[in-house]
Amino acid sequence: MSISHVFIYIFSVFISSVSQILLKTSANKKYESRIREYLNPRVIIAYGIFFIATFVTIIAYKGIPLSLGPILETTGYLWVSLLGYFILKEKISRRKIIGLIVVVAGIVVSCM
Amino acid sequence: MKKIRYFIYLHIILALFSVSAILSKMAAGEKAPKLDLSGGVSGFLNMDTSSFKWMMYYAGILFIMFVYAIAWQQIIKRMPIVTAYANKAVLVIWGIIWGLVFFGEKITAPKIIGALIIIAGVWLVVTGDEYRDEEENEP
Repeated sequence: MSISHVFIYIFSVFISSVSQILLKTSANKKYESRIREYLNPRVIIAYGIFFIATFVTIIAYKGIPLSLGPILETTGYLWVSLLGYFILKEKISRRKIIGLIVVVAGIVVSCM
Repeated sequence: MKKIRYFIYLHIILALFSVSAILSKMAAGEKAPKLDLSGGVSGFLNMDTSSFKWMMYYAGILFIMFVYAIAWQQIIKRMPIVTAYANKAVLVIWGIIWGLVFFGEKITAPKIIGALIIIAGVWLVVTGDEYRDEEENEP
């Protein structure tokens, strides 16, 4: 297992989380037509990032076991929460913060 | 009874989604094809076996993601989003199983304990989110 590939995988999860936030901000906006709801810069960029992330994931798997992928995927909960907090100004409940810490602790244990 | 049915659908679609990770890992063992159009269509068709396999795996990944995205949308309409997200943590278990079956990865105690801690953490995260709205979903 190579630590740099662990970070490549986490990077892929991070950019996927960014694309999820983009989709969410797009869903909150009003558009003049149905087509515009799907064909607007945010949605196109979001799917573009998502597409890139699939390649980044494959590159990451060159250096990590398959079992580690879905484990690192759960960092997505952390990224979505942080991005939601800083960009969408969403509140994070105390229970959620504890949960996020538990998830990260679990990831660290899995890597041992 | 209906609840159980969608719960089963959810787990079928999550199991399918877990297969995309196997394909990603398999693609990682092959050579990604170079986008070289100088040889025209015949040059493209003459790609080596490894690149061909890579393309097949990648096509599989995209197909699964497409099916998953649509099915996920339908399922979260019919069950609480929190339940769906909490159950998604099962992917961690699938990853460990497929790792053993397809790549002979050892199942170690830290991996199992770590996975269980993650699942508990995910449950806290998704139930701790009173603000999650219905529209939030994955691409």
